[in-house]
Amino acid sequence: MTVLLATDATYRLLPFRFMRLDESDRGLLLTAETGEYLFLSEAQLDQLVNRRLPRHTPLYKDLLARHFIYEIDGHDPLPEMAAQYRSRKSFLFGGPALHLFVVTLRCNHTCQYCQVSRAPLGGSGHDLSAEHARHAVDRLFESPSPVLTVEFQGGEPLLAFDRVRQIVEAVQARNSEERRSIRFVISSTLHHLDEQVLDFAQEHDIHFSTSLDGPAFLHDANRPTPERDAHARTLDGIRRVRERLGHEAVSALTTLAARSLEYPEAIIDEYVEQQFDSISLRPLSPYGFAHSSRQRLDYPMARYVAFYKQALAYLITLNGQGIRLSEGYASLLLTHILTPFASGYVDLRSPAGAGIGALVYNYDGGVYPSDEARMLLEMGEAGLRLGSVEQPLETLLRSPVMGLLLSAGIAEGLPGCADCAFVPYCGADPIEHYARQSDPVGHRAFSAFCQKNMALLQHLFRLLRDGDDLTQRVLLSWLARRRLADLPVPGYRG
Amino acid sequence: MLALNTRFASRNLTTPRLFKVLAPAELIARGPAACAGAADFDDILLWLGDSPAAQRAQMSTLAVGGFIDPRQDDLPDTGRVQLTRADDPEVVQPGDVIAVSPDTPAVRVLYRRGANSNLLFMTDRCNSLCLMCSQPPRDVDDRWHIEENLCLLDLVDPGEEHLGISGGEPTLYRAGLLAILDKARQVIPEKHLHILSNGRALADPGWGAELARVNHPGCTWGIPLYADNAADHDHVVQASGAFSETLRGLYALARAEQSVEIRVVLSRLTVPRLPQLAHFIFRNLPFVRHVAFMGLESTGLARKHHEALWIDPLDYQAPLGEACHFLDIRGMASSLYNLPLCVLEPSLAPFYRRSISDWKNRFIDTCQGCAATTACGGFFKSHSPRWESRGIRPLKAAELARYTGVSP
Repeated sequence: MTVLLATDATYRLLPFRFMRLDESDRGLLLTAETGEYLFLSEAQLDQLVNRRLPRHTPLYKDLLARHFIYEIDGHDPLPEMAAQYRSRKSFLFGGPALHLFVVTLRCNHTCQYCQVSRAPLGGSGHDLSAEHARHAVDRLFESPSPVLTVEFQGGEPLLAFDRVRQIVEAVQARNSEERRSIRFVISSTLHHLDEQVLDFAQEHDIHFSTSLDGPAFLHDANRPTPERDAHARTLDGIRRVRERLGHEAVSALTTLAARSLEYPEAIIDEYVEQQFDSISLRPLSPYGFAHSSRQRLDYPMARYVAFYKQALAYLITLNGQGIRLSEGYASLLLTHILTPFASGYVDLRSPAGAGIGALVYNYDGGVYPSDEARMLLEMGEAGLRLGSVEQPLETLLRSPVMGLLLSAGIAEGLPGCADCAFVPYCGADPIEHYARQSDPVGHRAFSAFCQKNMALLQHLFRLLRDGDDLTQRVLLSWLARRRLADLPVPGYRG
Repeated sequence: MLALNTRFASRNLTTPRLFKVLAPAELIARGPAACAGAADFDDILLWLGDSPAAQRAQMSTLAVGGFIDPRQDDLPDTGRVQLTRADDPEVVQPGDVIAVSPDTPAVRVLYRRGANSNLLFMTDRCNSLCLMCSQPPRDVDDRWHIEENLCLLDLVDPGEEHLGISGGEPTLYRAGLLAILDKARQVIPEKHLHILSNGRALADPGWGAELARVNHPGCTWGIPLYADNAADHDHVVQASGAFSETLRGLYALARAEQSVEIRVVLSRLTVPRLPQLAHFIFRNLPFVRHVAFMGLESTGLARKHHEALWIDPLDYQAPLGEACHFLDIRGMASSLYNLPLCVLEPSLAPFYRRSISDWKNRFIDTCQGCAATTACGGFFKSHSPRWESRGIRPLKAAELARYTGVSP
């Protein structure tokens, strides 16, 4: 046998970033351009960058295999790096996949933090016209994406159900030729669910997304109605959807007001009781009416982060007891960290998802790059409108607004992000920075978006590095969307 | 363990050729339509093995290519090909396709009806020299396999089944392999092809486009990858630069939308970084459909490299488990082949396949009284004591239940 030893050429560094998590002997997180990562000690990093790393050690091979270094005259890792980069940014190939139709601004709630300004129940001039809806369906099919999500938003979209019906029927008629994979979702309080709506949803395989902010005392405080029965009516709606369309046909999102942060366990218990298998613990957005009542409702991101860590620990304990409940944002971040794939989540992309990944057709016929952008409109900022629903998609995506957003929408090139070890897993959110800092680039030091993602990613990386077997298995079960019992051991930690 | 060749006495054979062996009933019912592709009566060797003497005379007047009766000393001479007096009369059976030549009494079975391991053998040549190669390559010009395999495709049975394409390294005969894939698509599109290749030649630009053009509907490439780094992989295959070429080949297959399986032979050289290899595959080759981890076959070059290669399977259950579970959790299928069940960590049972081809699989004395012989892959024919795990033992029914999850 011939012993093949590569010549002792020195190695070279490939682009990577690093971050100090703590002082432990694996306290440095190194991330490669591809999103692969390793934990190193300070001394190892020193050896690595000074090219004094001994060859033929496991660490040396790890660094080679994960494309942190390469050997001159040795294997050229560019094909693998290109393949990984292509997988990670694959969302760019499809064009806008998420299409939000704001069929009405009318709503029966008077939520203090309302994310999307609303109009009174009987108000007029706040519904999407049939003519605008027809144009919006044309825009939808101008997107090259083979997979499309049609989401109905409001206000309360069930208050304009005729428009919902018109759009679903038009989309399906058109799709008999287009043959795209299309998913319909109605974002609703479910208070106005009737048999006619359920029949239609059943016939057209429509899913529902509702808001459930926790137990009644939290939900009803967050979401006032004249009858003070928002929680009970939403639960009733959830029950009816499940009876008719199946358990999976309704999912729920949580909005966290300042007071909610005191009750992580009560909120999670409510989701367990209502038999959801996923919960999404989102901080309050600086949009809609929330901005004007910020004093009362807003909270420092640090408070949210503390809440989130407590909630995550509780969720891991519950999962260990056999209760299947995943946290949506953690699941997304884990996909970004542990796989070469994109999650498809539009708010955590680089280039930013606004416009490129999602479009919003507003009730007034305006087209916006994201839900948040049209909420700014309701706050008096018309600047982020791409154009009218009557213009072709090509024109809309060439609007100056898209130029502005994209010039601030590539995280790898933004100050503060360019050298952040988390940039492979994170995204750019020029609209949030525009809303909070009046500048789409924004300053990371004052960025709530950055503060949140930094804290959550650090927390997850620590759990992945230090967590016991149960923690690993629970997080991996969220990643894999499988029951914990199907993951008897966590396998290689990577 | 039925051999794939034996010797016959032959008569009237003037040229090397292939025959489809058919029993009288099938010949009458289907004629040449018993073959998947273009065949006529001249391609058929009529099986006289079970016919009463009275019928033989009558049948010997049929206008077929010839007659075969492995147990008969002689047949009346009709001027057509005759095969008689087989060394092993069981080797050739009706439905099989055989290769015969006037130069030799050897008869090779190229296709055995109903077998799980039929193979289009492409060449003895190879551009690697893997330390554990079970069929060491020979540097010969054996292009004649191409023509033989093209003929074979016409004569196999129609219908769904798996057909292997192997060598040596089948991609070394580029035009020949593409011609075979193209013909397979036309003649036997329902048969799934499994091509064993090191993928190195596929790095050459052009292969991808040609594979895309051939567009075979059901073909999987089984490509070995032995490490997550070039030095370790190139050492196992004893070829400098092989790792780089194989990776480029894998990407060429992905671009041509081919189905790809990665094959890893478990040895002292591959086991230490098995979890890291699984990680490498998932991160860099996410299009891979299946990862096969395979026990060593103690034959060929492996015997020369026993010391470098041998590791008791009991001693690699931990890294093997890390790799399999890592892939499983990430949605990538993996399988364990060529290992006796009794050495396996029970949590790996879901990945275990009773895999060693029918004709290779056997049991040893220690296995007597084992409850698992119907669930176990057993040993290769070449098995010998120095390749035997210290974990080999008869399993009791209760122990078997830990693997199968079924109570005894």
